[in-house]
Amino acid sequence: MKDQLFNLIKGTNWKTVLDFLDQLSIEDRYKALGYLMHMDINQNLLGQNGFDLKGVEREKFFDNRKKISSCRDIAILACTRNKEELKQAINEFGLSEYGQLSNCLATPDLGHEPIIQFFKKYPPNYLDGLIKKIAKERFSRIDFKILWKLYENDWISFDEELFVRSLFIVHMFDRSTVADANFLIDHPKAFEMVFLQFYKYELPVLDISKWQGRYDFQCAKVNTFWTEVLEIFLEKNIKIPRTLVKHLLESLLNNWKKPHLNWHISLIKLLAPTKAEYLKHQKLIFAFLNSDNIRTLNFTVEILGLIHKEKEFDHAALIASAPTLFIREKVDKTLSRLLPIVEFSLDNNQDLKKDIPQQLSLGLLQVNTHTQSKFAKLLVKYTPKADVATWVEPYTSVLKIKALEILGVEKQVEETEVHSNKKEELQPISPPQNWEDLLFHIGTCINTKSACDIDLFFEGLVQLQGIIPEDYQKQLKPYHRQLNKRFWELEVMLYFKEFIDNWFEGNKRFVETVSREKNSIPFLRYKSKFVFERLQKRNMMPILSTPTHLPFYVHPDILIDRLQVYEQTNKNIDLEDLVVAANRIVKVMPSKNTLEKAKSLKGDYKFAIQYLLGVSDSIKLKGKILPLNKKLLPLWSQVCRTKEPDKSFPEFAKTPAKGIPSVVNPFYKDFRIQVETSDVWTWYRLKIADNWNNTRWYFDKKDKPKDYPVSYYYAAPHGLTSRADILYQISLLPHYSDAWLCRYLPDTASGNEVDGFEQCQYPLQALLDYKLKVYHSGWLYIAQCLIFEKKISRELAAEYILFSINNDTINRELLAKSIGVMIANKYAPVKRLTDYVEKPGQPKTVKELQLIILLNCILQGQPGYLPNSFKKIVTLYGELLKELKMKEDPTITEKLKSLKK
Amino acid sequence: MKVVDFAYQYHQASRLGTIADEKALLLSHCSEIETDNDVSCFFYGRFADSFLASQCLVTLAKTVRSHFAVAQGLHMRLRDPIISVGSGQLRFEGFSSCNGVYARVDMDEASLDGEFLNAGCTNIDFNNPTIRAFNEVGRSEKLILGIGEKETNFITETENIIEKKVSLPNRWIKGLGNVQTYLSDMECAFTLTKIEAIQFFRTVPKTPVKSDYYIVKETNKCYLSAVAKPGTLRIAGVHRLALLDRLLTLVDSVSFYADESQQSLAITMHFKNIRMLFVFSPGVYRGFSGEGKTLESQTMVLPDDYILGMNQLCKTNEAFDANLLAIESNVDFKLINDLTATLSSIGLLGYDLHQQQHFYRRLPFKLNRLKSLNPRFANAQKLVANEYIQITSQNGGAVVAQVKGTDGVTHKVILDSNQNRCTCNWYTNHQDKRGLCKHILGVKMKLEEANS
Repeated sequence: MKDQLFNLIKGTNWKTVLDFLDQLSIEDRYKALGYLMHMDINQNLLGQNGFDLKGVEREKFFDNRKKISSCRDIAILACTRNKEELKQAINEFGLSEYGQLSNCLATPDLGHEPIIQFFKKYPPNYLDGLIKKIAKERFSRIDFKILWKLYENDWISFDEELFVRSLFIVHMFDRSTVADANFLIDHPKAFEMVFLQFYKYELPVLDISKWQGRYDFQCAKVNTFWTEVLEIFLEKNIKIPRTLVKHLLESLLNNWKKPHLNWHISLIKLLAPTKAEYLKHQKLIFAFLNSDNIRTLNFTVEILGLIHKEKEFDHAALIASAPTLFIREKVDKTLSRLLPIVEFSLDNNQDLKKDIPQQLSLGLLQVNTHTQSKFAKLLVKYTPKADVATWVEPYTSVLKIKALEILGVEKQVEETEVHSNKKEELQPISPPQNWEDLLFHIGTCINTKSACDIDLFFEGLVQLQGIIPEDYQKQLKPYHRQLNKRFWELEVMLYFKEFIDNWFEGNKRFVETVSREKNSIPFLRYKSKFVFERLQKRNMMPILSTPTHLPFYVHPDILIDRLQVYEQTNKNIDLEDLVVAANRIVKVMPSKNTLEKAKSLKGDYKFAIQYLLGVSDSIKLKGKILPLNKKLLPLWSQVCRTKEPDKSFPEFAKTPAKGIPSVVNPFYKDFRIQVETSDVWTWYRLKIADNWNNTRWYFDKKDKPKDYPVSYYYAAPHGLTSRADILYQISLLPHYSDAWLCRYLPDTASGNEVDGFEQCQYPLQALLDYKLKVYHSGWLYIAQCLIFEKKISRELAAEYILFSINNDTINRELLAKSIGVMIANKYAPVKRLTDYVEKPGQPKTVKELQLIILLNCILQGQPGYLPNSFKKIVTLYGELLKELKMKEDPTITEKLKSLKK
Repeated sequence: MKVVDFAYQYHQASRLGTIADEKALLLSHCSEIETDNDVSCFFYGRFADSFLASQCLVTLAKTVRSHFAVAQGLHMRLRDPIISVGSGQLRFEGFSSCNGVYARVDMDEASLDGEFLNAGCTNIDFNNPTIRAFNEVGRSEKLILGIGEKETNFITETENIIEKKVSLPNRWIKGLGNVQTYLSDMECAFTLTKIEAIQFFRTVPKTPVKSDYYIVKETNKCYLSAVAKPGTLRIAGVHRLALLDRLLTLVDSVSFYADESQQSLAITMHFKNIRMLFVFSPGVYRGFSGEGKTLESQTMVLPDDYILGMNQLCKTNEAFDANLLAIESNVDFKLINDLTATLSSIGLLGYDLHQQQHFYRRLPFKLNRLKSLNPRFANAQKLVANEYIQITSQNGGAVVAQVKGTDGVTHKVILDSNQNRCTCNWYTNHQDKRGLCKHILGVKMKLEEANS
């Protein structure tokens, strides 16, 4: 039997297969089922898997194989003839409950005829439940035509949603708009019971599929398939009940995805409702004014425009519903079309004017000058002159010059909160004081990943190494497990884990597990190794760079005390540790006692530390023997820059450090916007001198920036990194981060990937959180962030600018010029800048800065190469001038004239 | 034992129609508790301001359908809200699909004109036609609302919708307890006028934002800042605030509430006689279900009879005053406090921010379902029962214990007056921000057991 059955299947003649199984007893059919279930088509029937074949032969092989597979599916299905037999087969032979049925209901290569023929002979009593189960499967597909056939034969009951979904889901490759339209025309019951019910369900019509359209093969969203089907119906004059218009209109109030609702709108338009139809449903249409969907709003206003002059139009309902739109943002076009309709209703219905001033005044909150002016005009028109000022009063701070003029009111001087410039008190911190604290501090490090916590842990461990319990490994095990169970991407955690691993394992020598290619925080790796060494040597000397105050600062009093401990015990300090400690210094006046102690320091670093603390003004680079102590150059150069960020230090001009950025001169870098174009794309790229921001891994290696020694933190010699690593990096250079910030500048303000988004966020967030100053080319970074594609970056930049203005640390010229160059060279859309300028409730100091920025944008403008919406810049410049009561600069007048030409 | 999600089926769909030429909406209800399920009608009457009430309910529907944390296998679904009827009040409440936003509409007697026929708490069918019906209510229109069916001349054009079985995930129900605990710790930070509120909400980003934002209130303005400052309120997933947009033209004032930890933020929109509360979870990917906030005061296991007995003592929506109840019922204060913690943890006590007090409601779920929703509590009980906890030292208020963990790990737990600490993964990740870990809770239970 086995061979005969296999041969029949191999022949792909399903009729003979069904005839063969038809003659078998139930026992034999189960036996056959066993053979079929364990049949390997390649091995048992074809003798090969076909992958070695090529060209036509390969194609033929797989076509045949698919037919064989379909034939086997129908054979398996035919082995059981009713629910009971199927259940037995599932229980005894492990038959899949609906695997074969699912294949037969999709689009089998042998078509649907076999399954229909089989069911005709043995009507199924199990289909309802199984079809529901198949429909729930994620990747299942049930061909609607077979589903309808099953229903017509009364083998399944009608389930509207299931049927509608089956019809409207368009699977790849095997559908055609013409064929589907014809099928529905030929099956009026299906047309009525299924097709016309689609409006009730949020169907996956926004998925992309491929099908045969009327004119060509298409790859598009499924809704276009059904729009075309409807077009075919309309062309063929197939009667579509007008209730569909009502249902589609109603559906616009569903909380569905916007593109889905947009599709319903396009279908309504296709059905071309009459004015009378719209008027019949006008109550519904007024409810659309609450919609979140701009397209629905525009559609509503379009309908209102069509019907508002009709006699049956409900003007009162319009006046009651329209105000919801008055405060909506970014609906200027909709409002510009709605307001004349509102005006028409008010003009023709005196009784509706009573409450309108209150509603119209809400429209004064609109940011767009034109929209705001329109509301102002209407307010003046429908409000007694004496009352205008009262209605306008709460909004004066947000009114533009034009609206103020229309309303005839003066702008109030805005009360702005006075921001205290008083420095916040620094919060002291200390390392763990006992074993329990140290143990739980590991958890804190894993949780916060902060430089401060990790460095405090190292300090605590060094100080407490004498009291570590014998069973420390047992106690450490939960943390060791936590660290090893996770995949860490952050370098901070990789180094921390590496250290804990070494300590937990009780290694005698430090075993490196982190790849040497990681290069963003070499200091942490260095530090963990020297802490490990100290444990081995029972060395309890303090670590100089351990923070003493939040977030990561070292107080000069404590630094001097720590240095004295080294000197009193004749131990050598670690120079790298001292460089970081000096970089992390708190900029406060040290106590007298500390100054005295500083004077008595003995090490060769003493002059640098004395200079840093203000004990001495002279830069003494000379060593004990040689004319220059090269070892101390990183310390000296950074101490000088920390102390005097704006100064030039010619003292370093003859040292090997002369070529290192930030050493001799403050960090200033030129930049330009480079345009790269092809037929289909244009990129505007920010190029900083010396390829400074050419740091990302996918950039051309030829243009790599120059490498600098790792100890010169102010030259930002380390690799780019992300999140917590960024915070560790900035803890090493808090007093002069300009070069570091420029490294993080993405080369484009639009079209970035995640790394670009993060680069314009985390460093900036750190500047704000730690209240750090930017001095020189770092402002280029702030400029880019202010017009960057991510809103969070723009807001952080605006916040940072405000912080700098309040603390008088802003470099207005550099910031304004950078933005001017970027905007004039189309590096970022003008709108990003105008959004910042138009932000309501800004203090005068910010507006003054904004004026300088706009002025620079105009000055940098090139005739014939102006960015889109450049006019808006000129308008805002004029408005700001008026608001600040300033006169236009004559150079601007000339420039504007030249630009107009 | 894992309790499967609550699957239910309304006997029929909520229906829209007319009663004596007035628009009427009869909401179907369903409860896991049979006695409540058998109630034909809880409330029947009109809203004083049907337009306003409808807009609030549309916003509630929008909230329960919204989904802010996109996770694999989780789909945006409309979860039916629950309603508590009693003490002259209607409270509609629900969570967003992701469990990160809780919304409640509180309607008091002045906002309703109708009959409170039965007190109780039930799920109500918020199907698409229902939401459309609320959407369609005009400003001057009246709407009759029935929570359940009453014999009336109800005429409906609504097509016969066959209601399908829907499931309400346990995490949804679990959040009901946690959110009330958050609310009870909150205080009003500031209130905005209508114009201030409109101006503030205009600054809210409409697209998803990963970073936290901070709400800054200055003398004459309120705005969002990306940077924390003293006195600001933290909001995670600030784009979630867009849910409130629709109601801004109708609002009288908007109050902002937060607790000291600023983990969660609550906003109340005040309308004439109606209030709408929104509570935002501490993060977009942190639903209220996983918060474990209720565990902190829950170290006693109370018999079911005590919990069920509360239903005899309190009515739905009635103010719940633990002290008064202790005095009136002559019950020990400690017991009543434990009872309050237990009731709160299983969602039987709601919290009214405006009135600053708890209210009672018997949720439409069986007690064993409600009690099964806290796996951390159950796991802590297991640790105690299996004697996995060893108190190694107890000195004054400080307790050191070792708790057997999995894979040969022993966790160290230290309880002292300042802080409870544990070496487990949960504590490392969440510290004390999401309730106690099972080890600390277990040690507390063991101590409680020893003391009693």
